[in-house]
Amino acid sequence: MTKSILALCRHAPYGTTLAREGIEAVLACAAMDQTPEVLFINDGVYQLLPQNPAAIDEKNLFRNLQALPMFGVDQIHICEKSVTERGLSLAEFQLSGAEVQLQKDIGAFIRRFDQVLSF
Amino acid sequence: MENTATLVVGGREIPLDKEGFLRNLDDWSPEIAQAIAQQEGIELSEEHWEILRLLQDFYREFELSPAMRPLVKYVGLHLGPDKGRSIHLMKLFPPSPAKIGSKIAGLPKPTNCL
Repeated sequence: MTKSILALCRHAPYGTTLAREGIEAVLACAAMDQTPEVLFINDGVYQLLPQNPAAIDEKNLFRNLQALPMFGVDQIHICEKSVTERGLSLAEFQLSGAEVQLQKDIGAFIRRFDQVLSF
Repeated sequence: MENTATLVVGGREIPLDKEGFLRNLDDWSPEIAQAIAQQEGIELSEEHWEILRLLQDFYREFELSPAMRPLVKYVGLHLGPDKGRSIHLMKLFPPSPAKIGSKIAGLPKPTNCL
């Protein structure tokens, strides 16, 4: 019996290692046939905007995230409230090959999953 | 403490990690690929090279090394369904195509090769 897994990406792409840990966990799950769905919420929505981290000698998380569909992760969700609060719009988020869905009722959405990993 | 393996190619010593991956990805060249392949017991043909080029494209596009499934998918996308199959890749880069291929293509070790 496979459990449904949701990875919550809650933090800005740089400044802490949480965002990086998140994608590594997601890719590891996917490689083990436990493909999670991913929800970007709070400052985590910034992970999906283009970045130029060479200036701080970091790897490009945005580019890594573009690989999610290649790893079989094609259910990507974004918290609508987090987007609106930051003055952003869905059109600004790019993830080629994935269906990106805006979620309104986050509580109900998260309750659908057996396991939630929070980053 | 890592042991320091080296590969001698054209009179230069190229540092490798203990699994035989390049320590400095900038060291990569086609001659070095040949030398690493030889250590893996692989004779590189054009069929190998087209996969190695795709591995490098994948890394340029996503800045990470692929695991097996994404590699199969990516190869299928670019070379068609006949080559985008694990059996084709297994034949070329046994026993673990994503890892061995990445090594020869000069990519970092795939992090999620558990």
